[in-house]
Amino acid sequence: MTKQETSAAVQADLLARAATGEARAAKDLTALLAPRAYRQAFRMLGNRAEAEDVVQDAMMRLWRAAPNWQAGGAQVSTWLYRVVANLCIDRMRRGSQASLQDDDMPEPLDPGPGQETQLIQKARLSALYAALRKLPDRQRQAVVLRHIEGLSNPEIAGIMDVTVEAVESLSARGKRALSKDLGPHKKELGFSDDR
Amino acid sequence: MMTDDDLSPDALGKLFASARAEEAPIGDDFLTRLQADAALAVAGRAREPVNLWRQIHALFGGWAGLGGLSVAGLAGFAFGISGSLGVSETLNAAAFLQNDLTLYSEQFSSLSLETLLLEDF
Repeated sequence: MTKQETSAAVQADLLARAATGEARAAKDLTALLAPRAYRQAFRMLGNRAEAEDVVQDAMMRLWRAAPNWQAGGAQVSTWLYRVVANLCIDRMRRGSQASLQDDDMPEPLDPGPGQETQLIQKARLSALYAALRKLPDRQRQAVVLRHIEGLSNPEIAGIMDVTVEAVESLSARGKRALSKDLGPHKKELGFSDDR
Repeated sequence: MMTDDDLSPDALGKLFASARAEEAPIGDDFLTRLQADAALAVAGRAREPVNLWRQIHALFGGWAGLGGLSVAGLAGFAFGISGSLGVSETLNAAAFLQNDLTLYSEQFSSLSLETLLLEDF
């Protein structure tokens, strides 16, 4: 059994136990799934408060679905990330998305060698997230899941409920749009020699 | 079609790598709150008492079913004690009882058994 299959089996077991009212299992499953769900929501919405709302909503939907969960059906994590993605898209369509504030930007893990590096790093992230927000919903979802979350195309296809070919196409179009949008800012982003 | 003005795939790859390297950590307080919500959501389900009355109610098809059952029981009782009555009087009495029960069932259909028992008729 692969690591991924083991993880899926553990999640399914926790969900089944949570469905019978075992609070410990529900807490453990939350600890397993919520951090990644939050990261996904934050990267799609660019706003901490909205990402938290989405994750809270998605987790409550998971507990409601738990009693009727079909063993052997969708993986719990895939199901949750799909719900998170759809909730994010709903929010973006409703236009309730607040603009990304500097305070919302993730802090660098490692401060790096110098202040200039940090500034460039921050400018790059701000520009990337701003450009991502201009992409059509499905392209943004595919690009975030593929190139930032690092999921495989088949995993993304499962989450987005489309074919692998559609994921590849959405991701490629998204990247092309990002390249065009960010091109004029090469210098500020430290890519002055970029060709 | 990509032009020289566009950001190159390499540069875009570096931007993605920067984003991947950044943490977007879930807040400890928020995670704790989520876990508390989770415990409440599933524990409520486990502690939900088995409502015997609701089960009986559902088993016999709701108030109408229970009304019919009561009429049948009362009619049987009426037949049992009505040796001295004629058939038409007995049927009239049963019809009267059914009308009464139908009225009651409509009136109290939205009330729980506990509420009904608290009522002082």
